[in-house]
Amino acid sequence: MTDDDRRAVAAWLFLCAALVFAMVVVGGVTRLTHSGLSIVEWQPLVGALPPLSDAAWQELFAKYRETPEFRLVNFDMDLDGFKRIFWWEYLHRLLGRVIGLVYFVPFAWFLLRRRIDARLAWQLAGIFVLGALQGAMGWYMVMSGLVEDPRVSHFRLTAHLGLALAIFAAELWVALALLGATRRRSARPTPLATAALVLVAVVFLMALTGGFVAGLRAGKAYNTFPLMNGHLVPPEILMLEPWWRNFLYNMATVQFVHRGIAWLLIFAVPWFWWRAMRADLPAGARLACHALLVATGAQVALGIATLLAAVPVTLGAAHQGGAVVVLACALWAASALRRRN
Amino acid sequence: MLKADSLACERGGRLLFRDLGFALPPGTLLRVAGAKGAGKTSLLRILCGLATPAAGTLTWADEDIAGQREAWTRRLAWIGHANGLKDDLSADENLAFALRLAGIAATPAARAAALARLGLEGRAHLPTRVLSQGQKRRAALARLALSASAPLWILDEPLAALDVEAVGTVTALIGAHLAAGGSAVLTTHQDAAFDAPGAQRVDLGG
Repeated sequence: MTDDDRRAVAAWLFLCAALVFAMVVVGGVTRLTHSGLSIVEWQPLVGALPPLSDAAWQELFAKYRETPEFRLVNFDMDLDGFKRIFWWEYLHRLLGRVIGLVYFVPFAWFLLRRRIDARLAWQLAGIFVLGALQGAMGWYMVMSGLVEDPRVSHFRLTAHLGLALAIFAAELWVALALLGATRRRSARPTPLATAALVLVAVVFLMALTGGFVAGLRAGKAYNTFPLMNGHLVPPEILMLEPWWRNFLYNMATVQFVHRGIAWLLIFAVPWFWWRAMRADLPAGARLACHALLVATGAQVALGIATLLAAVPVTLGAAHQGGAVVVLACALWAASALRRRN
Repeated sequence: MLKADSLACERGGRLLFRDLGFALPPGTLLRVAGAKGAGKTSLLRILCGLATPAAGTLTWADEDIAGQREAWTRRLAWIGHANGLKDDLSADENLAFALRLAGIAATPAARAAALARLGLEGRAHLPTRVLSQGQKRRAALARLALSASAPLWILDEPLAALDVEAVGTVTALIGAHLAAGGSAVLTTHQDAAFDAPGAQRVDLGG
């Protein structure tokens, strides 16, 4: 591959990653505005068209009125209220379709014009498969909210978020590797490079615990910081038996774990940054480490604000988007530290 | 005593009711009647402090409930139209969490007795997702058996989906609560079940 081809593919992947970022934020708003169960069908092609007539609106609204969410929660919702929740879910799905096209068309073009080598082609094909799975995953999640209890399974919600982050991370990682390809890989990873990869993993895990918090609506409880309703360890965290079920189903425990990993990052990221500043690093890697420090600090502040305010839509969505930014910075640092001066 | 003065409620740009007033002394029951969509559930949500009335005031012991928030919810036992059960958890676990949130201490034996009283013996440790509609409703109502310390019970269709025996249990629980000086506000389609002396009735949109 020529340098121009690498830059072109990288630019395209950065665009795709930016769209996935937007998708995660819109997904957060869809969740926080309780809009996700408004479209009770899954029609990947036909569903691209919104209702265009009053009759079509009435038909969709009638279908929604059959759902447990309408019967139990939104029983007094009128058509205007329905339109508001419809548009968020519609935008989320539309953006999904747009991302599919923005990914597939250039990918096919690069492939047909033989601009990419076999290894990269397989990597990109793998990301495409993840994207296709994500659409199905979204519907699998929504299905769990259309029966009896109008809440989606928090496991499926977390899987849907986790897959989005995996797609984002893969696109960014491949793009960063393409841009860095002119510099040689270090023969053996430095301790700092390994530490950066560990941070990527911890940030990813942190985001998954955030999915659990969101899915169990655990952000509506223990709205105090740093203590949890006056306790360092709330007495409720082991209410379920056997003990491990608390980590899956107990709001108190799930929030406690999310806070615990936040504390880990509050110490680990500045430590990592301090070590990076003492090492002899190229300007790009230093910049990545600065970005990671700032993004982590901002994300912690946003998280605390979201908790104290009991998850208003704006803060909740910003905190969900912030997770993607921190992940991006960690990936950037890890990628930059893999290469020599 | 719960007192409502010229309450009004608006939902979706529509006035559901206005000029609603009542006084509920200890030991009495208020039945909220009205057609579907008349605002029964909206009224209960206002009484719980979950929604704000378009006009009017609501006082408990001559103190406006608007400023009380958590102190107010601690006085209530609220069971809504939805059961409020986490279906991954068992009836016993749901009950334990509900009581903890209400600040009511109860031993596992007390919880078991409450669930048995509602006919859930042998079902108390299954995830509630496998229970029938009636069993889920009973799992939600089991907390009434341990809510003697909450002076005001607010219940949305407590008898819906219940069999005759469970209707008897729940009406007996409510009767005992009233006899002990508690008060209750509820909606129901079963008139006969609540013909207690001193019972009041408001009709919405009549």
